[in-house]
Amino acid sequence: MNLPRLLSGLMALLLVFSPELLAQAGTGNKYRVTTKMEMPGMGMSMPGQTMEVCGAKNEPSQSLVPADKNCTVRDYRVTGNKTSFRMVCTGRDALEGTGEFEMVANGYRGKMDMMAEGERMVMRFEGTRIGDCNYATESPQAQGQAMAAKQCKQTLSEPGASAWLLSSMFIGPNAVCAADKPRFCAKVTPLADNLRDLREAEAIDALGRKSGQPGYLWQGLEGCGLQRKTVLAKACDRAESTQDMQFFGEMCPDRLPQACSRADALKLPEFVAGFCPTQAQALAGAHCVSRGFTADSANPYSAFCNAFAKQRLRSGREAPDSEATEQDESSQPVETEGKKPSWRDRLRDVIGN
Amino acid sequence: MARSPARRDRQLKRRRHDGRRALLRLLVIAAAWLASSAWAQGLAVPEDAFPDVARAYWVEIDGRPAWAGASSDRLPMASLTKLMTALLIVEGADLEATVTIGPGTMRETGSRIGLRQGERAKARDLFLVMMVRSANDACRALADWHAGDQARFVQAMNARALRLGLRNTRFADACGHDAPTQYSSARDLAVLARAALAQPEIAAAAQQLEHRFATEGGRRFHVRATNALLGRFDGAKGLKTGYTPGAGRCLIALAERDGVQVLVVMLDARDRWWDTVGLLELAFDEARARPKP
Repeated sequence: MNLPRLLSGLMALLLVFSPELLAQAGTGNKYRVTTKMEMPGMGMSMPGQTMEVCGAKNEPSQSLVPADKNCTVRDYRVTGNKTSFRMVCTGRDALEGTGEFEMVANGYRGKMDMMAEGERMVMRFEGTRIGDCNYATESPQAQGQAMAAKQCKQTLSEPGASAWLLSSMFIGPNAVCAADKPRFCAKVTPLADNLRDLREAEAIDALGRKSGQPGYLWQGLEGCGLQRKTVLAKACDRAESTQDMQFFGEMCPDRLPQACSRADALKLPEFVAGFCPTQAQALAGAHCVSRGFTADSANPYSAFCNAFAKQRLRSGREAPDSEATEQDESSQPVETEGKKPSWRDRLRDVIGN
Repeated sequence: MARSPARRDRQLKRRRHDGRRALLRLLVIAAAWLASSAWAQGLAVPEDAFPDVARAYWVEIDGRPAWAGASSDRLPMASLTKLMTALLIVEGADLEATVTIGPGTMRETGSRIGLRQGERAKARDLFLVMMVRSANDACRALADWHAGDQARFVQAMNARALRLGLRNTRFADACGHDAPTQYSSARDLAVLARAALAQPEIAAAAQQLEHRFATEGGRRFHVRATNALLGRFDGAKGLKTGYTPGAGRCLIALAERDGVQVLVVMLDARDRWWDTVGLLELAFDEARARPKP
């Protein structure tokens, strides 16, 4: 049984007053509410919890009946100060039980006797009025709304455009910060013009998508009127013209074949080694692995070769065992460099030249 | 008043229970302390991200382990041994002294510069030839000269290894020839490398591309570095190569770029140079991607 989830659900039920009370803004009654949970079947009881709750003045006793869209209340009866009812909840926190409470001189008390997932639970509660409160600002609903508003503002006050990570708070039918959408959009749309930030955001978003989350980045940008296709087309143009080949390689896969065919490994060694596998294999065959690392101390392709060696490790070893025939250091004459055999034949077997 | 057996039993049980709880608490505290202490010493077990590069390997960035495989396995380490020899010589010998080549040197095989018995050379030159060219005759000459004979020098090497906490290291030879009791681990060699690098003489020798010298008798020598990364790999600063049939191709590589230092230890590497280059480049990428403090 998921006890914590069930308990928190029940607590929420008891603290949520009927929706019609929301309209009654103004001064309320502050109650100190103590709840205690027992599970007779398991011989255990949870320690009592006390909290202060602001309730509406003159609230009808009905407002103490838990209200939830998944619950139906039946057999509701009021006799003098006492009220009783039966409740059936369905869905994730399914339960069935009876409830009773009575209004006393300075508050209320009662209990709910429930069966959930085959276990009996008895929850006793008692509310004592301890003073006045402002129902409009201190009721659980008002406090929930205030917390949401604070969260919205806090999200937007973070430096940079990281607010896209919480785009579902601002965009979409369940957005709790819908009122702040203009500020959210002002915050995140500059991402579309910043290649580095856009690439980093996409990398983070891709990780999230891999673990089953929706794509928050494009949800946010598209919710602000920027279409993915248009943003990427513009960004890829800029990346190519400014030679931001890391962005181009990661974010513009459709344009890679053409860019790779034009790329110069002497000028763009990391790009060719990292994003142009066909060209990289051919160049490595001619200038790197085939020659052996020690063959040429002034190899103009050394930057490309280093990038290729890194890429080779990254993507798993595919290159040949180029050192297998290197002469033993211990058997070489020490005053001269040993002659290196050609690796070309060995390489051909692997890269198919 | 005498206690009832049942009550005594209950009290004993409670004490045992309390004792077990206290022990458990102690174990948890000890485990937490060990974990933090191991991390603080850079001894945490890093991910084996590149299992094919070598029989054992170790990569650390600024002293922190990044990737490693079979890093505690005891394996022959060939001429990487000479780092310990160099450390003992630098710590205890006068490099300006003159060394007379003894008969033990003549028996050295493998990588040699061809020293002759009775020849006299500066200890510093022999030290540099040992580091730069991995010359076994220079190495043996230094060991015999410093300790009287190789056996005593090896004893000192093992004692120094103990002081460094190298639990998977044992020396039987001063210069790295294969022997059943000549072994180390990739992790131990990283510790040894750091101790060696703390000595400016060794750190400087490890970067030298070549060395020229003459014996007292006027015989001239010119040796070039066995470390192919020097002068070819941007930021390469050493450190030591090694090869024997038993150890395979070994390398301790050190490189520094933009204040970031990467150390790679490879034992029996499949493609020593290219894979070390790949590991170094990946480590520098990793360091660049790290959040700045």
